[in-house]
Amino acid sequence: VTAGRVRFGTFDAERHWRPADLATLPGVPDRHADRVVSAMDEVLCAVCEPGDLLITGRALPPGFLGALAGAGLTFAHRVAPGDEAEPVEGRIAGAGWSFYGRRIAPYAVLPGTVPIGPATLPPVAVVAEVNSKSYSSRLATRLGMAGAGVVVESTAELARAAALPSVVKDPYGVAGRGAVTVESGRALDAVVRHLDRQVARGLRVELVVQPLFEVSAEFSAHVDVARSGAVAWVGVTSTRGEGFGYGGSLPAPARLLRELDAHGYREAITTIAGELARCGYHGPVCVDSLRLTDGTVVPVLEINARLSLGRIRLDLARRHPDWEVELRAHHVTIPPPFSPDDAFGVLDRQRLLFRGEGPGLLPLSANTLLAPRGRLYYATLARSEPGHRALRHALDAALTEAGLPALRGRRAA
Amino acid sequence: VTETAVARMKRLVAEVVGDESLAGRLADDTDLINDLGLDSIQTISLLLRIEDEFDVEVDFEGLDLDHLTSLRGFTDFLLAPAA
Repeated sequence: VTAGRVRFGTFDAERHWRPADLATLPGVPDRHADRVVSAMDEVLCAVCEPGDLLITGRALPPGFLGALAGAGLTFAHRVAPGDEAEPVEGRIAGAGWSFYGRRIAPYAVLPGTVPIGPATLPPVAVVAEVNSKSYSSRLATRLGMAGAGVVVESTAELARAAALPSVVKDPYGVAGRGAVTVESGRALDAVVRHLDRQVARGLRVELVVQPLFEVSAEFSAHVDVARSGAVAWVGVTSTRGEGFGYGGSLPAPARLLRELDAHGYREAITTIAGELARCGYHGPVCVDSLRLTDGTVVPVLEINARLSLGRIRLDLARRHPDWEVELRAHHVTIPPPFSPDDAFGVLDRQRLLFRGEGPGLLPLSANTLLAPRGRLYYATLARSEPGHRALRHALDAALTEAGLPALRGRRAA
Repeated sequence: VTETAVARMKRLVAEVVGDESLAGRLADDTDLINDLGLDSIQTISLLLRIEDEFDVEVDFEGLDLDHLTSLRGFTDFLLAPAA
């Protein structure tokens, strides 16, 4: 019998890969949102199988574990010891736990991951490099792929490269943070002014400039790169974007898949993955891609050499072949005092939870429901889009009734 | 601050959120973060539009989430003459 995997990992991986000497784009520090993101490691429950050990940064409430068990998701669980404000990797390394014979399967390989795993992980420097949008833009340019971004290393280069409108991205930006849409000369001046102040303090500029694409479809390709360099295709998942934020991961329509086949998309992704292997990376890869309104396919918007929500949806779908699986986030206002089990109790009483017999909701996080505003990551398992929509509306109604109304700027469609 | 400035601000917020019908449903005390859920990118997008709309210069480094807890307070903060 093979011992199961050990799953854990900070979802805010890009922050740990980002060089400290890079100037930042205008942004608003939001420590509360950071705390919510720090609880996203709980979503890894979706890929756990019996025999796996999931280590999370915070305790998982009984109502949440009950909902998972009711859906057939069982696994061993431990809470990483130590300060909850610290990344889970350092806390696990400091605990001195032995994982002998088990495969270490982190969300992402960070500097703090190395002491935990045996020498089966790719070098952190390689992982950090290939996750940079500068790397993916230069690679897409070199391979002659449509829609490649331009890397700029000074504000003068930025001003020259940014045709209006453009999107300017931090090389290590993530959903909701680290990008600015520049639509006017005045906005560009404001960004340049903000960067120049930091350059005067000794920081350096490295940014990626992309056109503001007119998008008709967002999706991502998922592959596994083996230590041998062999590339295994996993699948394509559609992405529901909310501006630059995460809206959801959905099954890719058959028509889109046929179109992508005709465009040689799979070959393009395999080429990209081969390049990552040559750099020394191995592990899961997610390549974010677009189809534009004029029919152009942009194969490489960015590369995420780590697990991803899209990949988690694909794994969940593979394990539930009788159901269509969608993965989403529901954003809510949360009045204190509040316990996440209050929400799961309501969902259970209203018989909305997935039990394997009929369509249902599968909650995938608990401590992301953090007052005064939080989000519930969840999957809907249904047979058709009206089935998913009915579950989303039932979730919204149930949580609203429980005193957790949806954030009005992010109400589910 | 005139009522018009707050109304213009509501229109810009609705544009950034991508729901133009929202402008008519926003109250002056709407909390842009805890009620609407604007993220960092949406907030900066809003500020860049405000620079264009109101002909002001926003200091991004002096910005704090506390300024965004009410739409009217945010408008007051941005359009107040420099001390």
